[in-house]
Amino acid sequence: MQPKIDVEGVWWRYAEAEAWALRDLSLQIAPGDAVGIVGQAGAGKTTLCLALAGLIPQETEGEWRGRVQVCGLDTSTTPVRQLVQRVGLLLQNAECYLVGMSVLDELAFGLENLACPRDEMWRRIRWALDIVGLAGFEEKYPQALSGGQKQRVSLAAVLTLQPEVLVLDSPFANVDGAGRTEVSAAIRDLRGRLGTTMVIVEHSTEDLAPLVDRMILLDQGRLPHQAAPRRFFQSVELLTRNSVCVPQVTELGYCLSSGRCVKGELPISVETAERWVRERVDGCEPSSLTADAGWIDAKPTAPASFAPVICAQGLRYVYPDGTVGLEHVDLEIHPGDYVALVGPNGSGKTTLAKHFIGLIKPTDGCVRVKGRDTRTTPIKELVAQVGYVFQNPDRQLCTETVEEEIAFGLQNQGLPSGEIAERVERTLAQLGWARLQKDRICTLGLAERQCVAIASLLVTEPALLILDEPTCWLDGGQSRALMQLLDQVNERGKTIILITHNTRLVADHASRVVGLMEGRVMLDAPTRVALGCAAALNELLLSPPQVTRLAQRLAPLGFPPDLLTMNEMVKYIDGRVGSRGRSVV
Amino acid sequence: MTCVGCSANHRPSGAGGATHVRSFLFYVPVESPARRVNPLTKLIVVLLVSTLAFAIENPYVNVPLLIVVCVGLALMGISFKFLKLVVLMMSGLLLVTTLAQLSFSAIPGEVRYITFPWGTYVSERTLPYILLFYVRFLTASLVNLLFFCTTRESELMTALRTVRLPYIACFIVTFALRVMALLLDEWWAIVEAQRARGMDFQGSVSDKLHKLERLLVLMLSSTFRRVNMASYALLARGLVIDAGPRTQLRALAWSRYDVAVLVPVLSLSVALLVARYG
Repeated sequence: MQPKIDVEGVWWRYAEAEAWALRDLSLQIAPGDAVGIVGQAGAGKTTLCLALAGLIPQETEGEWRGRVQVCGLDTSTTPVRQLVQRVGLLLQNAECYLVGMSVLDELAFGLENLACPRDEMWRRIRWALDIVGLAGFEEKYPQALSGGQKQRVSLAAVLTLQPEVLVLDSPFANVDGAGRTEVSAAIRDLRGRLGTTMVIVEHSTEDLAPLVDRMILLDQGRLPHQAAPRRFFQSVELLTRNSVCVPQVTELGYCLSSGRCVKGELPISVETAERWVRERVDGCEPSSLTADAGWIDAKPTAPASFAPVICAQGLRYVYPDGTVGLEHVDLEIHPGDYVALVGPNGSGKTTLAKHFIGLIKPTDGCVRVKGRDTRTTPIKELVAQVGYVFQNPDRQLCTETVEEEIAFGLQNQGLPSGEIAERVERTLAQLGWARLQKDRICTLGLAERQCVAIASLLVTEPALLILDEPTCWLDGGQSRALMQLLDQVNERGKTIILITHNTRLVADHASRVVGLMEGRVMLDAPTRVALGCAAALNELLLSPPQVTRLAQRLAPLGFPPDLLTMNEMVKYIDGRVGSRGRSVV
Repeated sequence: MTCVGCSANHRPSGAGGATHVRSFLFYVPVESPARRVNPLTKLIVVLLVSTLAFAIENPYVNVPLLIVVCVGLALMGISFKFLKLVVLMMSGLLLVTTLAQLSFSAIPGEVRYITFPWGTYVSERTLPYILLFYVRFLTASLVNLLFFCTTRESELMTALRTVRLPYIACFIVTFALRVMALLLDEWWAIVEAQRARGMDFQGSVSDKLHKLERLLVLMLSSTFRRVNMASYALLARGLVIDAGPRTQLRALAWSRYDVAVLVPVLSLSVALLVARYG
């Protein structure tokens, strides 16, 4: 059978770039197959996506060698308009690609270009909106939607074209739990009903693995490793070196197996992990380790007796059009707290966070930052206490070099130049970035720019740091580095509010979870309690980390259902298995 | 969620969207009589009213025309609070133009009140002329504002394609409106992000200019990036300017409201133009 996608000996180098983005890449994908692509930032994943759609080399300057055929069409010579009827392309970072003035116009644009009959257009648009869960959003202005909703609009716009091949770059980025379920269901539906061939680039391997037949690792434009997901994730060391975040249960299996001559495949899903762990603890008594003595990774919570950094009382916010954004929010955040602010797309997380820096003023109630009412305090004074890192760091970076960028906030505060220079140098030294001091911002990658944005706020020594989805575009290695940096910041006494959909991050780092739903706080608890409360998580459309789900499934064997992190699970299992001797494992 | 008095759905996005900013040349989704009239009718009315405003220099025509346009704006149900900034900006610009006219025109009259060194002068007819000039240009500006506030850019595309305008021309006009909206959104997102870093617009004139320069550079680099990415998105959805047939999602429908608006406006316009030039 002729492959649906045939990549043969492809080399690609962008104009004015020295390095090849794709190097002698060869790949075949059969009709109806789904392939997942992972790799670190800059590996060539997005470049490959553009090549499959013909945008490289036809619409991009550079040097091209080799051949790509999709549906029998040569992508370097077939007109792009003809290709898009066969290949649907969803690019990452949806915000930059939405150009319509309404969701309806956005979805209709491609269909109009391809001369689709009107009735068929309406049918496909309704179908696509249903699939992504945005029915009723037809007249909304896409740029005003939340990040996850924009991602879904972009996906719907591609789905309306009903192509034979779908190339999706980061379809789950920024999407809440319900959205991920809907996107996954849509992908399965398309494969099942229409036999669509899929190429999916995604950092979230836990979402990706169940959807694909084969996984591919890209490394500096080359393809060093590909296999079915079960075999692919056995190469944990290779994947970790390439900044791929393997499924948590795979990492768990690897940690439990290391140095212990364990045979057998590592699990890649919670179901297979359950069987895997059962086989290994079968016959062991429940662990003699108690929670206090043993497996819990304690996350210190700030004493409530300290004056709060943030105090919201009866906070209500109504948008100018009358829509209620926040309703009766009462919240206190204490010094040293590490709070995860969670909730579905559009639940009010960013709206609430913007109140803390005074970008938005309450309609009713009040918000106090270190005792100062945000309604009457100028923003310039509030930012001395609160640092806010936006999702898109590029809007915050406005100078030429790293040094100038970090000094910028201090200049806005009117500090003397000597003190500014001293604080900048100290911050760079603390972060280990002294070598980057004179580097130009435009030469840095996204993760590095994100870190510069954070550093430029840290240098002002705010009491509170708010980060809005800081890891959504980062690969595994970059996310780990960023979260380690934030842990260090928190250990030095800074309060952190992390807006995220990633419950694994929440479990690993946050000490407290505040959950918003339709503008109301419906969960405010320590992380262990929050992630163990299935009812609340269901309401918030969240799923606990794989390790917690695994522990809950193993509860009949005596496993504590509130195990949060991989470290805790390893300690618990070690303690349990150790009761009948390590050699058994 | 639609806005009752201003731009649609200005709920801030997660990445820092702005509130209440798309107030110039942008569609306002308010239920109004204008929604019952198809976009081509509105376009013809706008062109006719603008033509009358520029072609006819008669207070007995221009002043009632301005009143009718203002009444039309009021009937659209758009809150003046929303339009205030736009109207003030337009009035300001027109005022500057009018004052320039005052200084650099030479309207013949019986009495010259002021003679400028450069040869122009102010006579007893200058002020009425300038006032009428202001009224005419304000009429043309407001009727165009009325059009853009009540017509989606996709509806404008439908109207333009109905009159068989080449697709490239239709695309340029409508895409320009989209790009303006995107740029404004980007501008306000950048301003918000910079305010979150303590930037304000206090200080001396040179401080303010320096800060504005930073924002504009950021805006420029962001624009290039967005346009580049947007071009990929458009191409990936089959956009080729000079390609074959296209269809349209929205159909142009004619109703009795279109006839009720077009017939009197067209008749009056023809009559006035004939009276003026015939």
